[in-house]
Amino acid sequence: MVALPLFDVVMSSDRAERSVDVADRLVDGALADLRQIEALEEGLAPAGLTQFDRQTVALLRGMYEQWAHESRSVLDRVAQAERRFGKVKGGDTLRDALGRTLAMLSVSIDDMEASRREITEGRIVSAEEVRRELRVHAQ
Amino acid sequence: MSYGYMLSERALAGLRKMELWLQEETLDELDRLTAQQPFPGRRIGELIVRDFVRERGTNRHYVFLTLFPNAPAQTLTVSNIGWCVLPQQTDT
Repeated sequence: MVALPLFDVVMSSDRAERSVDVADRLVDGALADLRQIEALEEGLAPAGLTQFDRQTVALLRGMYEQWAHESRSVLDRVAQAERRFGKVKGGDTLRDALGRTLAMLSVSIDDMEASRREITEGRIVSAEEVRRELRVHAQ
Repeated sequence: MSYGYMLSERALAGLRKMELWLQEETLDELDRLTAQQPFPGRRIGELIVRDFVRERGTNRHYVFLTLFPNAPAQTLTVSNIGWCVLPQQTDT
């Protein structure tokens, strides 16, 4: 995120309107970057359940990780701007996008690959069984 | 007509990592999802990517699901479940 130092300079100038405007633009940029990664992922998708391109998945995952890292930096700046000057448009959307991305990254590549194998081998559990187990634990 | 759904062993392991209330929310979400057609969510080849958010206390819980539909069998199989918690942003 090349514009972060610019934001820091603008923030130090104490001009509310400019700071919020730059924060808005940083948020828009981060969300656009995410859409681009998602579009790449959709374009490079394997054709079927049994095909898993580990190298491509790993590269895309690296892009998501880099995006999450940079978005945290943007959100730090957004929080600074919001504390001093009020709400930044799109800040909540970026926070949710980061949360969704981190949830996605919590699934490892090994688990992604293994789950496909489980499905093709019929190693699956019915919804009824899962509900039943949950009810037992809830009691 | 509603699809049935099932979970891979990895998806079940992912589900079990979550708190019980969120496990129930996830199954409820899957019930809602299987009643809708076309299924909402992002498509990556055959895979459907779906996520949802729940608030609890001061936290926002993000749940990530990947699903493979099987139209002839009218089933959805959840391949993986991921989860992340972030503190809820308080208004300034």
